Amino acid sequence: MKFSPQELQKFYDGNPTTFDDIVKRYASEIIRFISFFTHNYDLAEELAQEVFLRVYQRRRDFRRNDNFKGWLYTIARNVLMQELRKKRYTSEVPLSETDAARLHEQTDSSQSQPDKDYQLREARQILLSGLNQLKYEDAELIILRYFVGLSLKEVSRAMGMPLGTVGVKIQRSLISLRQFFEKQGYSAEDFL
Amino acid sequence: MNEKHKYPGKEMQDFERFITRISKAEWESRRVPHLPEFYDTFWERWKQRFGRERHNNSTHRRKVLLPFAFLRCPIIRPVPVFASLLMALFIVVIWQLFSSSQITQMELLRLESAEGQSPGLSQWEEVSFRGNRRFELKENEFAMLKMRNGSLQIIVRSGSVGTVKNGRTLRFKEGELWAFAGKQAAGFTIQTPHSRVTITGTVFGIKTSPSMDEIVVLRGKLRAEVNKRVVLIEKGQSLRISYDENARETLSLSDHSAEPPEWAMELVRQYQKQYFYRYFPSAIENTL
Repeated sequence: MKFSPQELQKFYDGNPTTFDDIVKRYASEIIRFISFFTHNYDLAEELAQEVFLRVYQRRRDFRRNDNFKGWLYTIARNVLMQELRKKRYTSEVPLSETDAARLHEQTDSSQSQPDKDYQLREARQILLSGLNQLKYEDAELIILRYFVGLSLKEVSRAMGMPLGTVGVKIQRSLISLRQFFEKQGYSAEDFL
Repeated sequence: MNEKHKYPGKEMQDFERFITRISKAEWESRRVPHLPEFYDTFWERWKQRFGRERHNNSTHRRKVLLPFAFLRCPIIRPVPVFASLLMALFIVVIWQLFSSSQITQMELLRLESAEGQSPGLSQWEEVSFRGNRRFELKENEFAMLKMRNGSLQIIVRSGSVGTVKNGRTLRFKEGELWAFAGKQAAGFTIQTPHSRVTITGTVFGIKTSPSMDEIVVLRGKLRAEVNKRVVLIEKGQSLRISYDENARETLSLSDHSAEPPEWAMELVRQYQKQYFYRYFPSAIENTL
């Protein structure tokens, strides 16, 4: 669901109802995005709350023609970076397999049917390991583009990078990931 | 081998689709376990931080904007814009009407006696005008064109034909004129069939006919434009532009030590004597 200009104007004016809609629409996304880097859901929720409080506080900085989702993820990234600097575990970021496994346990327990597709699960594990090999910024780009599902324009706004740079960096990261997959025994047929 | 060209585009597209597929699966598997609790905690924090501030802000805003609340009406909102435009238009019109550096007055002198004799002062007839004014002087008529601030005085000899355009240009078709210009008259233009003269504060004369132009400068400098060529005429010089039967142009710049002709000086003296206190500031007097 995309917010209309009228709704964004109401948000700009400080309407709590519209803001509530925004929180409900994006809270889950933001928590999931942050949890990729913090490996801790409680901390991710706390940071997500800080993100939305900051969104409300700085709503007047949002320009009418700006990309709302990109702007939101910019704030999320800033809050996250602030926290990571505070804790000084930037070098450990982005992902660890144990955290991912823990998260799976949390999520799988709520599902009625276990994931039977062993290959898909294996590919997901390799992808998470592959992201560990990338630079922090490249991993962030891949997560925003493919996991969160932002458009290139939104990623560009969120990362504060030119659109062309984003495209090139994503392409290079994909090549690195592909090489990593091939080292794990994957071939071109497996990607079809 | 360059890393960029290692994989063909088709293979990378397949790989991108593959990554998208497994990323989506991974993303979907990461559900947030305690979302309702998250909302409750968040709104408590929001109230703590913004509840009071929001109330104060809105009250303050309402008080400040109350006298201007009518401006929020979509019908009234364009009114200030139109009012500003009208005001700008009004200022431009007023400027045009009352700008002092424009020729807005012409005085005609009809001579009963022969040319060169002292005219009777009561015979000056004042004509005020706005915008354009054409004149075609008869054999016994002289004209004096004046700027409102008195910085430019042009004496036009009988038999001349011309038009004043918007108070800033004189199109002089035929005849003879002498101009006495102060510094405030700078920029005024006299256009003849063969040349274009821009005033920079001078005393000069122009004599024009279908086959010849003569420009004589007595004081100061003058910038004349002849067929896109610029000629600077200095004090004591005269420029003659003549055309032969084949319309061939000849320009000749020569020294000239003459004073303004007696008829022009006499008219100015007589005019000044009567109207000095009313019309002529020191700028004009200094040029004579």
